[in-house]
Amino acid sequence: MAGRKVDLALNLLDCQMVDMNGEPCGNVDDVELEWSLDGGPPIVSALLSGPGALGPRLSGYLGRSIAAVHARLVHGAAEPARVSMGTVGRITHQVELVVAAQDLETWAFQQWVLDNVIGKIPGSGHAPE
Amino acid sequence: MFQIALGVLTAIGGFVDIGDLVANAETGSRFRMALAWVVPIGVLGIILYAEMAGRVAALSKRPVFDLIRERLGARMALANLCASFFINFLTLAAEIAGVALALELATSVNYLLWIPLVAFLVWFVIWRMRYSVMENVFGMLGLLLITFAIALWRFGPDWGALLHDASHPVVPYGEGHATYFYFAIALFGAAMTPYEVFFFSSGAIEEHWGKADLKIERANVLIGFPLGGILSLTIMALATLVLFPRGIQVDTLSQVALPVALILGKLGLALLLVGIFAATFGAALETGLSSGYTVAQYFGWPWGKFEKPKDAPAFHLVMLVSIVLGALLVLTKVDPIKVTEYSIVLSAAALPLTYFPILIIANDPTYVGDKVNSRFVNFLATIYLFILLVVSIATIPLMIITKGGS
Repeated sequence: MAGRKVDLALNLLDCQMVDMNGEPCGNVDDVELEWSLDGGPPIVSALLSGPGALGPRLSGYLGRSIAAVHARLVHGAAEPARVSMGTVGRITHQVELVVAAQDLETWAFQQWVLDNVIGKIPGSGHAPE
Repeated sequence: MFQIALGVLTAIGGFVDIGDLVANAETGSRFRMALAWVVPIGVLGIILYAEMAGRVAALSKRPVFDLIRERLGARMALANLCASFFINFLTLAAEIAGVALALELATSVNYLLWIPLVAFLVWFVIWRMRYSVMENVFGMLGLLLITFAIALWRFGPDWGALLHDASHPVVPYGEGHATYFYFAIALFGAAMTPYEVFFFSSGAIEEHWGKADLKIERANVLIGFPLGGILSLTIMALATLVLFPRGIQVDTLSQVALPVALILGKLGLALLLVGIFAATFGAALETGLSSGYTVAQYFGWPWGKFEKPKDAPAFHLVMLVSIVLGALLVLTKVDPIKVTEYSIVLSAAALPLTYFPILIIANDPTYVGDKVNSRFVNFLATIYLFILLVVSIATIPLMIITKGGS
Protein backbone atom coordinates (compact mmCIF):
# COMPACT_ATOMS: atom_id res chain seq x y z
CA MET A 1 0.00 0.00 0.00
CA ALA A 2 2.98 2.30 -0.30
CA GLY A 3 3.00 5.48 -2.28
CA ARG A 4 -0.67 6.41 -1.89
CA LYS A 5 -1.32 10.07 -1.11
CA VAL A 6 -4.13 10.92 1.28
CA ASP A 7 -5.48 14.13 2.76
CA LEU A 8 -5.55 13.17 6.43
CA ALA A 9 -8.21 15.60 7.58
CA LEU A 10 -10.45 15.16 4.55
CA ASN A 11 -10.18 11.45 3.72
CA LEU A 12 -9.18 9.72 6.91
CA LEU A 13 -9.95 11.41 10.22
CA ASP A 14 -13.44 10.66 11.57
CA CYS A 15 -14.17 8.31 8.66
CA GLN A 16 -16.10 5.10 9.13
CA MET A 17 -14.09 1.86 8.79
CA VAL A 18 -15.93 -1.13 7.35
CA ASP A 19 -14.70 -4.72 7.22
CA MET A 20 -14.57 -7.12 4.26
CA ASN A 21 -18.35 -7.73 4.60
CA GLY A 22 -19.22 -4.05 4.79
CA GLU A 23 -19.90 -4.20 8.55
CA PRO A 24 -18.97 -1.05 10.49
CA CYS A 25 -15.92 -1.59 12.70
CA GLY A 26 -15.07 1.74 14.32
CA ASN A 27 -14.08 5.19 13.17
CA VAL A 28 -10.65 6.53 12.34
CA ASP A 29 -10.08 8.58 15.48
CA ASP A 30 -6.41 9.29 14.88
CA VAL A 31 -3.54 8.12 12.67
CA GLU A 32 -0.04 6.85 13.40
CA LEU A 33 2.66 8.50 11.33
CA GLU A 34 6.15 7.29 10.56
CA TRP A 35 8.88 9.60 9.32
CA SER A 36 10.81 8.22 6.41
CA LEU A 37 14.60 8.28 6.86
CA ASP A 38 15.32 10.11 3.62
CA GLY A 39 13.40 13.18 4.85
CA GLY A 40 10.35 12.72 2.65
CA PRO A 41 6.74 13.32 3.77
CA PRO A 42 5.51 11.29 6.75
CA ILE A 43 3.89 7.92 5.99
CA VAL A 44 0.63 6.76 7.60
CA SER A 45 1.59 3.46 9.22
CA ALA A 46 -1.66 2.68 11.04
CA LEU A 47 -5.17 3.94 11.76
CA LEU A 48 -6.04 4.37 15.44
CA SER A 49 -9.53 3.91 16.82
CA GLY A 50 -11.56 4.04 20.02
CA PRO A 51 -11.43 6.22 23.14
CA GLY A 52 -7.69 5.58 23.52
CA ALA A 53 -7.17 7.52 20.30
CA LEU A 54 -10.09 9.96 20.53
CA GLY A 55 -9.32 11.15 24.07
CA PRO A 56 -5.79 12.44 23.43
CA ARG A 57 -6.94 14.03 20.16
CA LEU A 58 -9.68 16.11 21.78
CA SER A 59 -8.11 18.87 23.79
CA GLY A 60 -9.13 20.14 27.21
CA TYR A 61 -11.03 18.59 30.08
CA LEU A 62 -13.27 16.45 27.84
CA GLY A 63 -10.34 14.82 26.05
CA ARG A 64 -8.40 14.20 29.29
CA SER A 65 -11.43 12.59 30.95
CA ILE A 66 -12.04 10.25 28.01
CA ALA A 67 -8.38 9.24 28.01
CA ALA A 68 -8.40 8.76 31.80
CA VAL A 69 -11.54 6.61 31.79
CA HIS A 70 -10.13 4.48 28.99
CA ALA A 71 -6.78 4.05 30.77
CA ARG A 72 -8.59 2.94 33.95
CA LEU A 73 -10.82 0.48 32.09
CA VAL A 74 -7.98 -1.26 30.29
CA HIS A 75 -5.81 -1.47 33.43
CA GLY A 76 -3.22 1.10 32.46
CA ALA A 77 -2.27 -0.24 29.03
CA ALA A 78 -3.87 2.78 27.35
CA GLU A 79 -2.73 1.97 23.83
CA PRO A 80 -5.42 2.74 21.26
CA ALA A 81 -6.74 0.01 18.97
CA ARG A 82 -4.44 -0.12 15.95
CA VAL A 83 -5.41 -1.02 12.39
CA SER A 84 -2.35 -1.61 10.24
CA MET A 85 -2.31 0.10 6.83
CA GLY A 86 -1.60 -3.32 5.32
CA THR A 87 -5.25 -4.28 5.92
CA VAL A 88 -6.66 -1.20 4.18
CA GLY A 89 -8.22 -1.76 0.78
CA ARG A 90 -10.03 1.11 -0.91
CA ILE A 91 -10.49 4.53 0.64
CA THR A 92 -13.71 6.19 -0.50
CA HIS A 93 -15.89 8.21 1.85
CA GLN A 94 -15.16 5.31 4.16
CA VAL A 95 -12.13 3.13 4.77
CA GLU A 96 -12.68 -0.38 3.41
CA LEU A 97 -10.62 -3.06 5.15
CA VAL A 98 -9.82 -6.49 3.70
CA VAL A 99 -10.18 -8.42 6.97
CA ALA A 100 -13.16 -9.41 9.16
CA ALA A 101 -14.27 -7.04 11.95
CA GLN A 102 -13.82 -9.77 14.58
CA ASP A 103 -10.09 -10.05 13.76
CA LEU A 104 -9.38 -6.37 14.46
CA GLU A 105 -8.21 -4.78 17.70
CA THR A 106 -11.26 -2.49 17.47
CA TRP A 107 -13.45 -5.54 18.14
CA ALA A 108 -11.95 -5.99 21.63
CA PHE A 109 -14.56 -3.71 23.27
CA GLN A 110 -17.44 -5.39 21.41
CA GLN A 111 -16.04 -8.79 22.42
CA TRP A 112 -15.84 -7.70 26.07
CA VAL A 113 -19.48 -6.52 25.98
CA LEU A 114 -20.47 -9.77 24.25
CA ASP A 115 -18.63 -12.00 26.75
CA ASN A 116 -19.77 -10.15 29.86
CA VAL A 117 -23.29 -8.93 29.08
CA ILE A 118 -24.98 -9.50 25.74
CA GLY A 119 -23.75 -13.08 25.19
CA LYS A 120 -25.17 -14.11 28.58
CA ILE A 121 -28.73 -13.15 27.63
CA PRO A 122 -30.66 -15.97 25.91
CA GLY A 123 -31.29 -15.36 22.22
CA SER A 124 -28.26 -13.19 21.48
CA GLY A 125 -27.33 -15.36 18.52
CA HIS A 126 -30.69 -15.04 16.78
CA ALA A 127 -31.73 -12.26 14.48
CA PRO A 128 -35.03 -10.66 15.58
CA GLU A 129 -37.95 -12.54 14.06
CA MET B 1 -50.92 1.55 -3.09
CA PHE B 2 -51.30 -0.74 -0.07
CA GLN B 3 -47.81 0.24 1.03
CA ILE B 4 -48.64 3.95 0.80
CA ALA B 5 -51.88 3.50 2.73
CA LEU B 6 -50.12 1.48 5.41
CA GLY B 7 -47.33 4.05 5.64
CA VAL B 8 -49.76 6.96 5.93
CA LEU B 9 -51.80 5.21 8.61
CA THR B 10 -48.74 4.35 10.69
CA ALA B 11 -47.45 7.92 10.24
CA ILE B 12 -50.68 9.27 11.82
CA GLY B 13 -50.40 6.97 14.84
CA GLY B 14 -46.64 7.49 14.94
CA PHE B 15 -46.97 11.27 14.99
CA VAL B 16 -48.84 11.33 18.31
CA ASP B 17 -46.85 10.20 21.36
CA ILE B 18 -46.91 11.03 25.07
CA GLY B 19 -45.47 14.49 24.36
CA ASP B 20 -48.29 15.42 21.96
CA LEU B 21 -50.97 14.00 24.26
CA VAL B 22 -49.77 16.01 27.25
CA ALA B 23 -48.84 19.23 25.43
CA ASN B 24 -52.11 19.51 23.48
CA ALA B 25 -54.39 18.65 26.40
CA GLU B 26 -52.49 20.93 28.76
CA THR B 27 -52.45 23.95 26.43
CA GLY B 28 -56.16 23.44 25.66
CA SER B 29 -57.03 23.31 29.36
CA ARG B 30 -55.09 26.49 30.12
CA PHE B 31 -55.10 28.63 26.95
CA ARG B 32 -58.17 27.33 25.08
CA MET B 33 -57.34 27.37 21.35
CA ALA B 34 -54.98 30.35 21.67
CA LEU B 35 -51.92 28.18 20.90
CA ALA B 36 -53.50 26.21 18.02
CA TRP B 37 -51.36 28.17 15.51
CA VAL B 38 -48.23 26.43 16.81
CA VAL B 39 -49.38 22.97 15.65
CA PRO B 40 -49.38 23.65 11.87
CA ILE B 41 -46.00 25.40 12.21
CA GLY B 42 -44.61 22.32 13.99
CA VAL B 43 -46.15 19.95 11.45
CA LEU B 44 -44.67 21.82 8.48
CA GLY B 45 -41.32 21.81 10.31
CA ILE B 46 -41.27 18.05 10.88
CA ILE B 47 -42.35 17.47 7.26
CA LEU B 48 -39.39 19.50 5.96
CA TYR B 49 -36.95 17.94 8.42
CA ALA B 50 -38.07 14.31 7.99
CA GLU B 51 -38.17 14.58 4.21
CA MET B 52 -34.61 15.99 4.08
CA ALA B 53 -33.30 13.38 6.54
CA GLY B 54 -34.98 10.52 4.63
CA ARG B 55 -33.58 11.75 1.30
CA VAL B 56 -30.06 12.19 2.71
CA ALA B 57 -30.13 8.69 4.25
CA ALA B 58 -31.60 6.95 1.19
CA LEU B 59 -29.15 8.53 -1.28
CA SER B 60 -25.92 8.71 0.74
CA LYS B 61 -26.60 5.37 2.53
CA ARG B 62 -25.07 6.92 5.63
CA PRO B 63 -26.67 7.39 9.04
CA VAL B 64 -27.32 10.79 10.60
CA PHE B 65 -24.72 10.74 13.36
CA ASP B 66 -21.97 9.49 11.04
CA LEU B 67 -22.70 12.50 8.80
CA ILE B 68 -22.94 14.90 11.74
CA ARG B 69 -19.53 13.74 12.94
CA GLU B 70 -18.01 14.12 9.50
CA ARG B 71 -19.48 17.61 9.12
CA LEU B 72 -18.96 19.02 12.61
CA GLY B 73 -15.75 17.22 13.60
CA ALA B 74 -15.23 14.83 16.51
CA ARG B 75 -15.48 17.41 19.30
CA MET B 76 -18.60 19.37 18.28
CA ALA B 77 -20.32 16.14 17.27
CA LEU B 78 -19.58 14.64 20.68
CA ALA B 79 -21.24 17.61 22.43
CA ASN B 80 -24.15 17.20 20.01
CA LEU B 81 -24.32 13.48 20.79
CA CYS B 82 -24.42 14.10 24.56
CA ALA B 83 -27.28 16.62 24.24
CA SER B 84 -29.27 14.50 21.77
CA PHE B 85 -28.76 11.32 23.74
CA PHE B 86 -29.87 12.93 27.02
CA ILE B 87 -33.05 14.39 25.51
CA ASN B 88 -33.85 11.13 23.76
CA PHE B 89 -33.34 9.38 27.10
CA LEU B 90 -35.83 11.71 28.85
CA THR B 91 -38.32 11.03 26.05
CA LEU B 92 -37.79 7.27 26.40
CA ALA B 93 -38.45 7.52 30.16
CA ALA B 94 -41.59 9.59 29.51
CA GLU B 95 -42.92 7.07 26.95
CA ILE B 96 -42.33 4.13 29.33
CA ALA B 97 -44.25 6.05 32.02
CA GLY B 98 -46.96 6.84 29.45
CA VAL B 99 -47.51 3.15 28.66
CA ALA B 100 -47.61 2.39 32.41
CA LEU B 101 -50.12 5.21 33.03
CA ALA B 102 -52.38 3.91 30.25
CA LEU B 103 -52.25 0.47 31.90
CA GLU B 104 -53.05 2.06 35.28
CA LEU B 105 -56.14 3.73 33.83
CA ALA B 106 -57.27 0.43 32.33
CA THR B 107 -56.59 -1.76 35.38
CA SER B 108 -56.49 0.58 38.44
CA VAL B 109 -53.14 -0.99 39.32
CA ASN B 110 -50.62 1.75 40.19
CA TYR B 111 -48.41 2.72 37.24
CA LEU B 112 -45.23 2.23 39.28
CA LEU B 113 -45.97 -1.49 39.38
CA TRP B 114 -46.37 -1.57 35.59
CA ILE B 115 -43.10 0.17 34.82
CA PRO B 116 -40.74 -2.85 35.22
CA LEU B 117 -43.01 -4.99 33.02
CA VAL B 118 -43.32 -2.27 30.37
CA ALA B 119 -39.55 -1.72 30.32
CA PHE B 120 -38.99 -5.46 29.96
CA LEU B 121 -41.48 -5.68 27.07
CA VAL B 122 -39.90 -2.74 25.26
CA TRP B 123 -36.48 -4.36 25.56
CA PHE B 124 -37.85 -7.78 24.59
CA VAL B 125 -39.53 -6.52 21.42
CA ILE B 126 -36.27 -4.85 20.34
CA TRP B 127 -34.25 -7.95 21.26
CA ARG B 128 -36.47 -10.61 19.74
CA MET B 129 -39.30 -9.42 17.49
CA ARG B 130 -39.30 -8.64 13.80
CA TYR B 131 -39.55 -4.92 14.10
CA SER B 132 -41.29 -4.17 10.78
CA VAL B 133 -44.27 -6.24 11.93
CA MET B 134 -44.41 -4.59 15.35
CA GLU B 135 -44.13 -1.16 13.76
CA ASN B 136 -47.25 -1.79 11.69
CA VAL B 137 -49.18 -3.40 14.56
CA PHE B 138 -48.54 -0.50 16.92
CA GLY B 139 -49.07 2.04 14.13
CA MET B 140 -52.49 0.61 13.28
CA LEU B 141 -53.59 0.27 16.92
CA GLY B 142 -52.38 3.83 17.47
CA LEU B 143 -55.07 4.87 15.01
CA LEU B 144 -57.59 4.21 17.79
CA LEU B 145 -56.57 7.66 19.02
CA ILE B 146 -59.16 8.73 16.45
CA THR B 147 -61.55 8.23 19.38
CA PHE B 148 -60.54 11.82 20.29
CA ALA B 149 -61.98 13.03 16.97
CA ILE B 150 -65.17 10.95 17.40
CA ALA B 151 -65.65 12.41 20.88
CA LEU B 152 -65.24 15.95 19.55
CA TRP B 153 -67.77 15.29 16.80
CA ARG B 154 -70.27 13.74 19.25
CA PHE B 155 -69.86 16.73 21.58
CA GLY B 156 -71.13 18.89 18.72
CA PRO B 157 -69.11 22.02 19.43
CA ASP B 158 -69.72 25.46 17.96
CA TRP B 159 -67.08 25.04 15.22
CA GLY B 160 -67.18 28.73 14.35
CA ALA B 161 -66.35 29.71 17.92
CA LEU B 162 -63.46 27.23 18.07
CA LEU B 163 -62.08 28.56 14.81
CA HIS B 164 -62.49 32.15 16.02
CA ASP B 165 -60.66 31.22 19.22
CA ALA B 166 -57.81 29.72 17.22
CA SER B 167 -57.53 32.57 14.73
CA HIS B 168 -57.78 35.37 17.33
CA PRO B 169 -55.38 34.15 20.03
CA VAL B 170 -55.81 35.88 23.39
CA VAL B 171 -53.86 34.96 26.52
CA PRO B 172 -56.59 34.04 29.06
CA TYR B 173 -56.97 35.97 32.31
CA GLY B 174 -54.59 34.69 34.97
CA GLU B 175 -51.90 33.44 32.55
CA GLY B 176 -48.78 35.45 31.72
CA HIS B 177 -47.17 35.98 28.33
CA ALA B 178 -44.03 34.12 29.44
CA THR B 179 -46.06 30.98 30.24
CA TYR B 180 -47.92 31.38 26.95
CA PHE B 181 -44.69 31.30 24.96
CA TYR B 182 -43.23 28.55 27.15
CA PHE B 183 -46.15 26.31 26.18
CA ALA B 184 -45.82 27.40 22.56
CA ILE B 185 -42.29 25.95 22.69
CA ALA B 186 -43.59 22.77 24.35
CA LEU B 187 -46.16 22.24 21.56
CA PHE B 188 -43.54 22.97 18.92
CA GLY B 189 -41.09 20.50 20.49
CA ALA B 190 -43.80 17.84 20.76
CA ALA B 191 -44.54 18.10 17.03
CA MET B 192 -40.88 18.23 15.92
CA THR B 193 -39.38 15.49 18.12
CA PRO B 194 -35.85 14.75 16.86
CA TYR B 195 -35.91 11.03 17.72
CA GLU B 196 -38.34 10.50 14.84
CA VAL B 197 -35.61 11.70 12.50
CA PHE B 198 -32.87 9.40 13.94
CA PHE B 199 -35.27 6.49 13.80
CA PHE B 200 -36.59 7.29 10.36
CA SER B 201 -33.24 7.77 8.64
CA SER B 202 -31.61 4.75 10.29
CA GLY B 203 -34.57 2.64 9.11
CA ALA B 204 -34.13 4.03 5.59
CA ILE B 205 -30.56 2.71 5.48
CA GLU B 206 -31.34 -0.68 6.97
CA GLU B 207 -34.25 -1.23 4.63
CA HIS B 208 -32.07 -0.17 1.66
CA TRP B 209 -34.29 2.63 0.44
CA GLY B 210 -33.65 3.84 -3.07
CA LYS B 211 -35.13 6.56 -5.24
CA ALA B 212 -38.45 4.70 -5.67
CA ASP B 213 -38.94 4.43 -1.91
CA LEU B 214 -38.43 8.16 -1.59
CA LYS B 215 -41.75 8.77 -3.37
CA ILE B 216 -43.58 6.53 -0.90
CA GLU B 217 -41.76 8.22 1.98
CA ARG B 218 -42.78 11.65 0.72
CA ALA B 219 -46.42 10.56 0.52
CA ASN B 220 -46.29 9.16 4.07
CA VAL B 221 -44.83 12.35 5.44
CA LEU B 222 -46.99 14.75 3.41
CA ILE B 223 -50.29 13.04 4.23
CA GLY B 224 -49.59 11.26 7.53
CA PHE B 225 -48.05 14.11 9.52
CA PRO B 226 -50.75 16.73 8.73
CA LEU B 227 -53.43 14.20 9.71
CA GLY B 228 -51.47 13.57 12.92
CA GLY B 229 -51.45 17.35 13.44
CA ILE B 230 -55.24 17.50 13.05
CA LEU B 231 -55.56 14.71 15.61
CA SER B 232 -53.40 16.79 17.99
CA LEU B 233 -55.72 19.76 17.49
CA THR B 234 -58.79 17.67 18.35
CA ILE B 235 -57.12 16.82 21.69
CA MET B 236 -56.61 20.54 22.27
CA ALA B 237 -60.21 21.34 21.26
CA LEU B 238 -61.62 18.71 23.66
CA ALA B 239 -59.56 20.17 26.51
CA THR B 240 -60.80 23.65 25.56
CA LEU B 241 -64.45 22.54 25.62
CA VAL B 242 -64.44 20.16 28.59
CA LEU B 243 -61.49 20.94 30.88
CA PHE B 244 -61.09 24.75 30.59
CA PRO B 245 -64.66 25.68 31.70
CA ARG B 246 -64.34 23.40 34.74
CA GLY B 247 -60.95 24.79 35.67
CA ILE B 248 -59.36 21.31 35.41
CA GLN B 249 -55.60 21.38 34.71
CA VAL B 250 -53.75 18.47 33.22
CA ASP B 251 -51.37 16.93 35.71
CA THR B 252 -52.01 13.26 35.05
CA LEU B 253 -52.79 11.21 31.96
CA SER B 254 -56.33 10.57 33.23
CA GLN B 255 -57.21 14.22 32.61
CA VAL B 256 -56.07 13.87 29.00
CA ALA B 257 -58.59 11.03 28.63
CA LEU B 258 -61.33 12.62 30.76
CA PRO B 259 -63.18 14.46 27.94
CA VAL B 260 -63.49 11.21 25.96
CA ALA B 261 -64.76 9.32 29.03
CA LEU B 262 -67.38 12.02 29.71
CA ILE B 263 -68.60 12.18 26.11
CA LEU B 264 -68.34 8.57 24.89
CA GLY B 265 -68.49 6.59 28.13
CA LYS B 266 -66.73 3.35 28.94
CA LEU B 267 -66.42 1.89 25.45
CA GLY B 268 -64.92 5.11 24.09
CA LEU B 269 -62.47 5.25 26.98
CA ALA B 270 -61.47 1.60 26.43
CA LEU B 271 -60.74 2.21 22.74
CA LEU B 272 -58.84 5.38 23.59
CA LEU B 273 -56.68 3.58 26.15
CA VAL B 274 -55.70 0.93 23.60
CA GLY B 275 -54.78 3.79 21.25
CA ILE B 276 -52.69 5.55 23.92
CA PHE B 277 -51.02 2.27 24.88
CA ALA B 278 -50.07 1.52 21.27
CA ALA B 279 -48.91 5.05 20.46
CA THR B 280 -46.70 5.37 23.55
CA PHE B 281 -45.38 1.80 23.28
CA GLY B 282 -44.47 2.40 19.63
CA ALA B 283 -42.71 5.62 20.62
CA ALA B 284 -40.88 3.81 23.45
CA LEU B 285 -39.52 1.34 20.87
CA GLU B 286 -38.45 4.17 18.58
CA THR B 287 -36.71 6.14 21.33
CA GLY B 288 -35.11 2.94 22.69
CA LEU B 289 -33.66 2.14 19.26
CA SER B 290 -32.65 5.78 18.76
CA SER B 291 -30.52 5.70 21.91
CA GLY B 292 -28.50 2.87 20.34
CA TYR B 293 -28.44 4.45 16.86
CA THR B 294 -26.99 7.79 17.97
CA VAL B 295 -24.14 6.35 20.06
CA ALA B 296 -23.25 3.49 17.69
CA GLN B 297 -23.24 5.78 14.66
CA TYR B 298 -21.00 8.33 16.36
CA PHE B 299 -18.42 5.69 17.33
CA GLY B 300 -18.73 3.75 14.07
CA TRP B 301 -19.97 0.56 15.76
CA PRO B 302 -22.17 -2.01 14.04
CA TRP B 303 -25.86 -1.22 14.63
CA GLY B 304 -29.28 -2.18 13.33
CA LYS B 305 -32.62 -3.61 14.31
CA PHE B 306 -32.08 -6.55 11.94
CA GLU B 307 -28.62 -7.44 13.31
CA LYS B 308 -28.16 -10.39 15.63
CA PRO B 309 -27.34 -8.98 19.07
CA LYS B 310 -24.04 -10.87 19.06
CA ASP B 311 -23.00 -9.04 15.89
CA ALA B 312 -23.73 -5.62 17.43
CA PRO B 313 -23.11 -6.11 21.17
CA ALA B 314 -22.29 -2.52 22.15
CA PHE B 315 -25.34 -1.19 20.25
CA HIS B 316 -27.54 -3.59 22.22
CA LEU B 317 -25.80 -2.70 25.48
CA VAL B 318 -26.54 1.02 25.02
CA MET B 319 -30.24 0.25 24.43
CA LEU B 320 -30.44 -2.14 27.38
CA VAL B 321 -28.80 0.36 29.75
CA SER B 322 -30.98 3.24 28.45
CA ILE B 323 -34.20 1.28 28.95
CA VAL B 324 -33.20 0.18 32.47
CA LEU B 325 -32.11 3.69 33.51
CA GLY B 326 -35.23 5.22 31.92
CA ALA B 327 -37.42 2.85 33.92
CA LEU B 328 -35.47 3.63 37.11
CA LEU B 329 -35.87 7.37 36.51
CA VAL B 330 -39.68 7.14 36.38
CA LEU B 331 -39.69 4.64 39.26
CA THR B 332 -38.32 7.38 41.54
CA LYS B 333 -41.91 8.74 41.61
CA VAL B 334 -40.77 11.82 39.71
CA ASP B 335 -43.91 13.33 38.11
CA PRO B 336 -44.15 11.63 34.68
CA ILE B 337 -46.05 14.57 33.22
CA LYS B 338 -43.18 16.89 34.25
CA VAL B 339 -40.64 14.51 32.66
CA THR B 340 -42.71 14.64 29.47
CA GLU B 341 -42.87 18.45 29.54
CA TYR B 342 -39.11 18.82 30.06
CA SER B 343 -38.37 16.28 27.32
CA ILE B 344 -40.40 18.17 24.69
CA VAL B 345 -39.25 21.63 25.73
CA LEU B 346 -35.58 20.58 25.71
CA SER B 347 -36.15 18.78 22.37
CA ALA B 348 -37.24 22.11 20.92
CA ALA B 349 -34.15 23.83 22.32
CA ALA B 350 -31.80 21.19 20.89
CA LEU B 351 -33.38 21.02 17.41
CA PRO B 352 -30.77 23.18 15.60
CA LEU B 353 -28.06 20.66 16.59
CA THR B 354 -29.40 18.03 14.20
CA TYR B 355 -31.48 20.18 11.86
CA PHE B 356 -28.63 22.44 10.75
CA PRO B 357 -26.19 19.69 9.65
CA ILE B 358 -29.00 17.89 7.79
CA LEU B 359 -29.94 21.11 5.99
CA ILE B 360 -26.32 21.59 4.87
CA ILE B 361 -25.94 17.97 3.70
CA ALA B 362 -29.29 18.03 1.84
CA ASN B 363 -27.73 20.79 -0.30
CA ASP B 364 -24.44 18.99 -0.97
CA PRO B 365 -24.33 17.05 -4.29
CA THR B 366 -21.49 14.82 -3.01
CA TYR B 367 -24.05 13.21 -0.67
CA VAL B 368 -27.38 13.44 -2.50
CA GLY B 369 -26.35 13.76 -6.17
CA ASP B 370 -28.89 15.73 -8.21
CA LYS B 371 -31.55 15.46 -5.48
CA VAL B 372 -30.40 18.58 -3.62
CA ASN B 373 -33.03 20.80 -1.98
CA SER B 374 -35.18 22.83 -4.36
CA ARG B 375 -35.18 26.62 -3.94
CA PHE B 376 -38.63 26.45 -2.41
CA VAL B 377 -37.54 23.90 0.20
CA ASN B 378 -34.45 25.96 1.01
CA PHE B 379 -36.56 29.09 1.36
CA LEU B 380 -38.83 27.36 3.90
CA ALA B 381 -35.94 25.56 5.58
CA THR B 382 -34.06 28.83 6.12
CA ILE B 383 -37.11 30.42 7.76
CA TYR B 384 -37.34 27.36 10.01
CA LEU B 385 -33.66 27.54 10.88
CA PHE B 386 -34.31 31.08 12.10
CA ILE B 387 -37.37 29.96 14.12
CA LEU B 388 -35.38 27.08 15.65
CA LEU B 389 -32.56 29.40 16.69
CA VAL B 390 -34.99 31.85 18.34
CA VAL B 391 -36.74 28.97 20.14
CA SER B 392 -33.42 27.51 21.21
CA ILE B 393 -32.21 30.82 22.71
CA ALA B 394 -35.56 31.59 24.40
CA THR B 395 -36.21 28.16 25.96
CA ILE B 396 -33.97 28.14 29.05
CA PRO B 397 -34.74 31.76 30.12
CA LEU B 398 -38.49 31.09 29.70
CA MET B 399 -38.15 27.85 31.65
CA ILE B 400 -36.55 29.76 34.53
CA ILE B 401 -38.93 32.76 34.45
CA THR B 402 -42.08 30.57 34.38
CA LYS B 403 -40.62 27.97 36.79
CA GLY B 404 -41.26 25.26 34.21
CA GLY B 405 -44.64 26.60 33.11
CA SER B 406 -46.33 26.50 36.51
